[in-house]
Amino acid sequence: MRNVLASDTFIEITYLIATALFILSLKWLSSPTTARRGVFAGELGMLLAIAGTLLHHGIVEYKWIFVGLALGAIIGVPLGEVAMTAVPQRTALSHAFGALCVTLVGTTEFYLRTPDVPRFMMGVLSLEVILGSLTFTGSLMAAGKLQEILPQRPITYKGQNIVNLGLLAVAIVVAGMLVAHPEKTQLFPLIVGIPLFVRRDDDHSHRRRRYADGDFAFEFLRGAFCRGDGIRPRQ
Amino acid sequence: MTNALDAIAVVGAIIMAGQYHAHRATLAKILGTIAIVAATSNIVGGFLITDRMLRMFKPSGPKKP
Repeated sequence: MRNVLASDTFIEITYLIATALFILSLKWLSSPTTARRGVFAGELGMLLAIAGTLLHHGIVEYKWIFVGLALGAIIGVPLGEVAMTAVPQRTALSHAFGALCVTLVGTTEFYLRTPDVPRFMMGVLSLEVILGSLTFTGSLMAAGKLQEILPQRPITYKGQNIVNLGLLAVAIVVAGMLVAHPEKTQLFPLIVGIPLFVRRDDDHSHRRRRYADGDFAFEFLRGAFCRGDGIRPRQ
Repeated sequence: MTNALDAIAVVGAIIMAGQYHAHRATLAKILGTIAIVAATSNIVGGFLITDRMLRMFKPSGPKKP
């Protein structure tokens, strides 16, 4: 029984149904009359995708998966019950969580596969990790500002743009070196760490609210990896 | 809701956290579990908040209590 369930075909079919549900969900979400149905279709698709993944033959230990799912649910419930006025910072915080997840998955994937990482995959992993860590601190800062934990005044210093561009350039060069030599494991922490410090903090407050500092990178990341619906305005 | 859909990255996280025989399985387990926590909180929180927002649209309908 387990063999039938764990077969790749079965998992593929689960993913296919989940994908269909996601597409329907996005379609239904576009109209207020069907929006709630859209939410349920999306959640059902997600449950199916998770259930299908749990049957994956590479997974042998379930303990930590269920610990993670339970803890996430415990944290998620209060985050879903914040006051409506706190939704912007909640959204920024959830972007930070999403970016954290993507960065950690990319990092783990690299360390599990090294020393033989195919070039294309190394390129994708680098992009994923750079944009993920860039977005993580960016969205955290946005959340901090909207919650008024951080000062509302933009945090700037002389030569900030040059420093940022320089840091980003270094990260990209290091990523290029990794694509050429994926066995140089010691370089990997650099492409995770450097983008954390790239911060552009201007005072166009209207723009900051629309695409809160760093969110844009996240939108791009999602578009690039087909994990969401691409660029969209904030609710 | 789209925040909730983002969390589909949880699939990748689950595969990472479930590694056992691979070398560096401990690292995979620790990072994978943190990733699952982050993504699941988005799934659950995103669902709750979107549903709550959409319920606010309801009362304007023709139905009266």
